[in-house]
Amino acid sequence: MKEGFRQSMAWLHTWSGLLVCWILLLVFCAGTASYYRAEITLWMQPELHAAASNTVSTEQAAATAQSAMQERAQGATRWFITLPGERNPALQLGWSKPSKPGEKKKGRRGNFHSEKADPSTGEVLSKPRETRGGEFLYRLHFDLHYMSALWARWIVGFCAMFMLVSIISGIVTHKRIFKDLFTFRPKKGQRSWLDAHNVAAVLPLPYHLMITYTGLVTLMFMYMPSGVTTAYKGDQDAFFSEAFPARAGEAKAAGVAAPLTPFAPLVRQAEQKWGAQVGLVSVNLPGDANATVTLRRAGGRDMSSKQPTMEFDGVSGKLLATYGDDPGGASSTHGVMVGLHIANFASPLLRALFFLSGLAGCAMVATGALLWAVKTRQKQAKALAAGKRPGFGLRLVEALNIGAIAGIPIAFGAYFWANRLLPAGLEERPKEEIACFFGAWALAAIVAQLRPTRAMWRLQLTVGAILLAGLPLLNVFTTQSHLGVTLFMGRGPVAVAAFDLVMLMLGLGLAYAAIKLKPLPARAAKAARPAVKADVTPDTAAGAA
Amino acid sequence: MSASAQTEKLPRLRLPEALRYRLGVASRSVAAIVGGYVLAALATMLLSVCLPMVRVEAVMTATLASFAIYTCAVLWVFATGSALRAWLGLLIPCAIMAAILQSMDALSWSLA
Amino acid sequence: MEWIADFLVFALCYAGLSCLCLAMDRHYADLHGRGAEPPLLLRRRLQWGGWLALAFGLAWAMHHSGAGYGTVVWVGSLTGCGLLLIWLLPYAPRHAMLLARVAGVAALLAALVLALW
Repeated sequence: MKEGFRQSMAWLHTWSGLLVCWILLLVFCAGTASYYRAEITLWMQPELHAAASNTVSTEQAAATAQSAMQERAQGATRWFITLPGERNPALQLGWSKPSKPGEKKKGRRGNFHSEKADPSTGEVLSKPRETRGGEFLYRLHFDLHYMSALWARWIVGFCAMFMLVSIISGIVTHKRIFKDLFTFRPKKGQRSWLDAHNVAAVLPLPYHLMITYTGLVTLMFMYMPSGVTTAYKGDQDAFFSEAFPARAGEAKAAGVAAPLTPFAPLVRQAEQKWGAQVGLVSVNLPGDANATVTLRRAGGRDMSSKQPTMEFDGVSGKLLATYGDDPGGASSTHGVMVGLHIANFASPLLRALFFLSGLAGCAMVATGALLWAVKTRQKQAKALAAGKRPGFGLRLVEALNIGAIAGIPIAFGAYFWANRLLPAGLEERPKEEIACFFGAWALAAIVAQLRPTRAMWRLQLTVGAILLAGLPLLNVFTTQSHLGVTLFMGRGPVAVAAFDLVMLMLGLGLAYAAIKLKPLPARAAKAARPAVKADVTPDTAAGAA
Repeated sequence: MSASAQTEKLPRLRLPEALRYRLGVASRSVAAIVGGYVLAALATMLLSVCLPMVRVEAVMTATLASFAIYTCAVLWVFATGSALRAWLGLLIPCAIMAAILQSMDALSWSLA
Repeated sequence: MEWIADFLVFALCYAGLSCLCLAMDRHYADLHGRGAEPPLLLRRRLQWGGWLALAFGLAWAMHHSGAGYGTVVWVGSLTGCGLLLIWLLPYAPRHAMLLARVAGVAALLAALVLALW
């Protein structure tokens, strides 16, 4: 650290990256999958695949939703209606009921009911198997699991700060960052790992910087509340109502019943004003005299996560207020940063590019950890050749590496296999699927500790490859919407076919990595030089991650 | 005489050297993680009340920038010559900002 | 039509990056054997062509989708093309360059389609 600026930054880069890389790998894998969480959820509910996606106007869909809710959501105090959009052809209906007196309080989740409905008829789409689907993966990347969300977000935020420091110190320390930009020399041992790490990290550098910083920004009021508390003298609510107007109004019920005004004309009025579609309809106190209906504009290609809203009187349909039409500079910046992170605005091609960059991020983390292990093994070469055990740090890192890098694909594979194999009517089905995710991961990690050798790497990469690449085949035996139907007969849904193909490719990537990890010849096994390891390309590295 | 005195000194120097290095790293790590956060938080507070814009915009801007400030502080802690300099380099700006905030009577709300 | 506009950006980025790579000693050598260096005139032409293609890509993206969204699409395309190139160059340099020519032609076609519609 006293050696000079570049060396100290190199040291910082290594340690800020290494200490948290395994958690970051989970965050990156789950986060990258989240770009397609709606499609993953669709894949995990095969009962919905055949449903014809009738395209109806948003007006008609809103009207259908209204009559369906009047029928099915009796006694609810809030309604949420997500109108059909690019990613989701179905109506999503949700409502929350207050707990009945005497009934044990189930918490916010328990009192909230949601279902999918056909936008042209309002019929509930044939009861699909219960699953958290892609939402589990989305939540996993910041709420983790089996712990309170608050703790998880602090942990993930902590790791994200480490990552930000690692990125910046990495940039500062890299002397020929642009000259070396397109350098990749395969089959050269440690040099190749370094090249792979550089490629995965430097080529998508704008993405990595963006995703890390915007990730912190999405929870910035939790991580850095001091600005709010200082300027508003402790009154955080005042800040939030100024910064995010039209949050859930806490209007009191009048106790007088009154019919809810029809939605269709409200939707028409809003769409005319905005020149864009309505995305979300929420109703406060439906059926009461104090009801209000709030319409929120669908984001479309607008990068900001903050969209304008219009609030209407729930009985007369009169426009009460509009919010968010003219956000200030900083608020817009905040909105765009959050929007960039979640990427709802992206066109299909751009979303695919985000996904690819996310995979590169997984590769960056994995190759970084592997690079450290390889380098450290070389440093200890003499001691190892003399028969000594590897140092504690090296053993720990190598154990964690195999547990995380080979284990995470196994976890994902197990989750998707569980979705197909667990009986549809199983009690607490979503929890069981998630238990399979973690159970498989734990099993893989524990087995890996018993004999953390190259053979174990090959075994686990192979298992991962079979699980992922086997999904399209599993589909043939468990659903009516396998590739034969979705792709070759062209009946779709496109998302389901694409999922199968992507899983196949990732599985093949893992298989390639496993094949390339040939066992070392006997002579070289004793030598410290890591001989020809996997032919690492960003793709296999991504697959291996 | 002096030669044996010299060779006696060396072994005793070697142990503290390694230990001193580790203590230095630990010290800087604490400075970076805790001290850096405090610095960023104070800077956010100061910017929130001082930036010449609408209050809600100032708070947004300051909070958005806080992570960049934190990162720079961390980098500085590890780039600078010694652990002592790292601590001083954090504590002095923190004290100054705290003093300014106190004079504006805005400091107490930070602990809310 | 939106996907054609996005594709045009992507094709321009790929063609441009390929030119810039070919102008580099290391990657020219990938194609023509160790130690080969591009002649000065060719190097200049490739660099000019490459940067122009990238600039056109950015300009088109911003024109079609707005400054913010367009920039994001352009950066994303650069990343995707870069990753593709870095994968192809060590293993299949001739295919990489063939793809560059195809991308150039495809870009022209896409531009034509967009101009006429």
